[in-house]
Amino acid sequence: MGRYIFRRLLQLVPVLLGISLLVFVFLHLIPGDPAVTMLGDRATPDAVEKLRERMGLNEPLPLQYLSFLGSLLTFDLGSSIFTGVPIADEIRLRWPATFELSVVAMLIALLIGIPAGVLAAVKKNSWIDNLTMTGSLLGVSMPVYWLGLLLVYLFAVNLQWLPPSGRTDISTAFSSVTGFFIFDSIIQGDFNALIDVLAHLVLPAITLSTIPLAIIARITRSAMLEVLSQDYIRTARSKGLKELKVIGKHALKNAMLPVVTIVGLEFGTLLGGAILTETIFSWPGIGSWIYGGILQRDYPVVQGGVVFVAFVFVLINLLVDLSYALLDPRIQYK
Amino acid sequence: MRPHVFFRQRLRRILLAMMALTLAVVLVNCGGGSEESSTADTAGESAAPAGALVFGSVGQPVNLTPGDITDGNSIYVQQQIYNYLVGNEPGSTELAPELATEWTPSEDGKTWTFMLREGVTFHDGTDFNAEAVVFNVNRWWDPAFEFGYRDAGALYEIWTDLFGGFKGDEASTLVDVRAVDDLTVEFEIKEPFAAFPAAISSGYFGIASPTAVQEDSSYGTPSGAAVGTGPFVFDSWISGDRVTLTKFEDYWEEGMPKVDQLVFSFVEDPAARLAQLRAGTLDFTTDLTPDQLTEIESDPNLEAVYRPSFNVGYLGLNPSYEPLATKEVRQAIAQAINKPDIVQAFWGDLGETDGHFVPPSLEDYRNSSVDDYTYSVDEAKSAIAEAGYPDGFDLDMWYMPVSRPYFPNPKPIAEAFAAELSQIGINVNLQTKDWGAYLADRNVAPGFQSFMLGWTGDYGDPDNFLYAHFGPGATQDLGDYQNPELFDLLEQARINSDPAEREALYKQVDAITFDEALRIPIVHSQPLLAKRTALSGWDPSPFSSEPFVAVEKG
Repeated sequence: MGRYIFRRLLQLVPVLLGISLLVFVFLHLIPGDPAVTMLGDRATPDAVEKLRERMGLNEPLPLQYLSFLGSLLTFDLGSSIFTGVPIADEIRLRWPATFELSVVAMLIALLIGIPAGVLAAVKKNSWIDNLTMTGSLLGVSMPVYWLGLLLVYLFAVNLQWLPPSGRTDISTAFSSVTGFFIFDSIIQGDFNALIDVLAHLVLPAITLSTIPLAIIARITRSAMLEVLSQDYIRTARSKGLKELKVIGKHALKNAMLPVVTIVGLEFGTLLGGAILTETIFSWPGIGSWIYGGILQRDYPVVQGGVVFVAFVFVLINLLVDLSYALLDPRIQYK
Repeated sequence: MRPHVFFRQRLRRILLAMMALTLAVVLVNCGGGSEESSTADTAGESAAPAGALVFGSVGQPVNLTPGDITDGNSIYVQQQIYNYLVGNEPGSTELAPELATEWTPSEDGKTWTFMLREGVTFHDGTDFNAEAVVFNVNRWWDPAFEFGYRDAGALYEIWTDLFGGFKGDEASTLVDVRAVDDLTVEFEIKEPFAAFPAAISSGYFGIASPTAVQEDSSYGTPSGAAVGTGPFVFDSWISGDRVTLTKFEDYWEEGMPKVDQLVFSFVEDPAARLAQLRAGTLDFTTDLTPDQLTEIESDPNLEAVYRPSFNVGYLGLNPSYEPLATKEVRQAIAQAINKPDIVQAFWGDLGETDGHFVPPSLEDYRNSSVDDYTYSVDEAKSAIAEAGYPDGFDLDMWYMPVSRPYFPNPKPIAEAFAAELSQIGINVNLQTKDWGAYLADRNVAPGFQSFMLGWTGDYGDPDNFLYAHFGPGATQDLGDYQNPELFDLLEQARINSDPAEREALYKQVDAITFDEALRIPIVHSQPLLAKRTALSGWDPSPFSSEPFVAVEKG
């Protein structure tokens, strides 16, 4: 198992290389460049050319790529063209925000999606089933931007029950060590801060969770239906086991494999940065940061950010694969 | 398999999985070190008390270094931290004393002497004096100046834009700058430049503390210092989230600023900005869209605020393309567009239209005999027929893909133009491209046949509008259009320091640009801002940003 993990981690290298090359190529294929964006309305060809010289954008492309690769190897991801802030610092600051939001959103999706899917499968074709599947369709079809704004208007503007934006209130005095606010507020014993942090997480997490929730519910239902029709389920029932145990212990665990795969993929997507949600809720995460970088042609931001997200995604997939061994003892890794 | 063996195997697998998870989490949070480094705070570390003023800003600053920025977000924050040599009367383009109390040109107009205010200190306690001004100017102007930190990437591009070039360049407007005594600075310029005081005081050129700049090579970044003489002291900048400023107790203006803390919260989306304003987490904000006006007016807690118009949105017609080479054709296009209706439809009360390129607040420079082309489809049609195009012609029209302060919704506006022009037989082909490419390509020969663009003024002088669009070297996007009479007038007006003569010259320019119809002014718009009703003392400047010295809550 250890050797398997090691081999998989080694695979990270060619994957990340490939991604870095792709990102670099695409970035430089897009028309427009950082110099023009910086100068805005006052961009004359002369000024643009001078700025490009100074920013080192006139080096031959292969050279620029090689220097980027070189910096990757030393974990020096460079600095933003626009703000001069080192990429690694930006990632370190923004990553916990995205991670925390994604985890909470995923939890919501799992805690509601899996039971909903199980229920729908067990009560197949009943009104519960139809309700769940319709809800699932709605969830996947609702525009995230619209839903987010709707929630803000309802709960933050009209009812004023929840805050409309940010991770904490501007007036909350709270010092974070790890960047994970829930964790920090707990270990610091700051109860008020914890409430504030959670309150700020509710709306964005709900907004972000709708699509994964819908998908997970659907997949769980299909997987459960598949499993429930198997012989060994009939055996378990005829052995006299309680129905709850049949479903919960025998059926569910076996149905989990495809669900775990989907969860892994969805989680990876969420961690890639929920641009729309982050925009509406002014959430200082990775998604809006990379998106801003693309708009401004801030090459280091996009390159460093995308490579980082790819790295995380691959790791998540590795964890998902490893978890198969947990769920199904027949699966072994050598 | 026996149960206890099975259990041990399961346990092993669980432990392995947990190790993998921990490894992943650790790896993912490495890169930069897990120790708290001295770089930027994590969000929440700087708290603003309940009485803090919170401003919803469109985005975060690029940096807080004067001279090395061009974007509005940076200028907005910098105007709270820094003062400028010369300021403006609140809400107006008129100059007012700030760090300088007097400024006079020499006889030949080539030397400007600024008398500085006494008793001003920087936030770090050091004295403000002429040496400090010279230090700052050298940072912007002299590429060899050690503390310009150009090796670290500082560019000061805006300096060359407004003042021709850097020290040593042929085209540099500035020849020398020196401290005559503690409170007197002299600028020597190559040729007379009447608008020099306004230009050197535009929002890009705040005066920073030389001590602070020298001590900190990361000055102006989120992890560095930003020290000026302005009403607010820089406290912290959490990248992507907010900038926090506190009151400067020793500010030179008595009784100012009014609030103890000021927070710039970055909210990129206008819908989110308005929602947060309504929910009360923002106190005031800027750059809302005209269609949000009804929502603001319907909320009793909010009030709409209008920024005086200091921009122009125009339709450019490139005479290097055949049908547009004829002036009468261009004028016909101006006549065929129903500007009053279009402006009313898209801007409502937030826009004005007329035939002048410069905005209403520069009224002294507008020629009163110039009104506007009267909307007339028939006249326009016969005009282009006479010019040789009885069946009309095809016209490429470019519109921008992004919202601009002068054209908040470019595409529908372009479609309106196209609809109007089709009535006189002009077949409009609407085009757009990426904003960065749009700006660059219009200047690459042959350029766009016709295009929408605009301009917001940098400082309160018509030179900033007219020279930059009709002066020598400024007509590349118009197929390098040459008009010696026009160029001459603009050059003369630039160097002339007599106010009455300048007014006369610019009025002549106004008449010519109206007649030539190369950049047809469509609108002078007022950006829409909003505040909660408890807020007072906010007088928005035409220049897109202003110091919040007098703003207070409740």
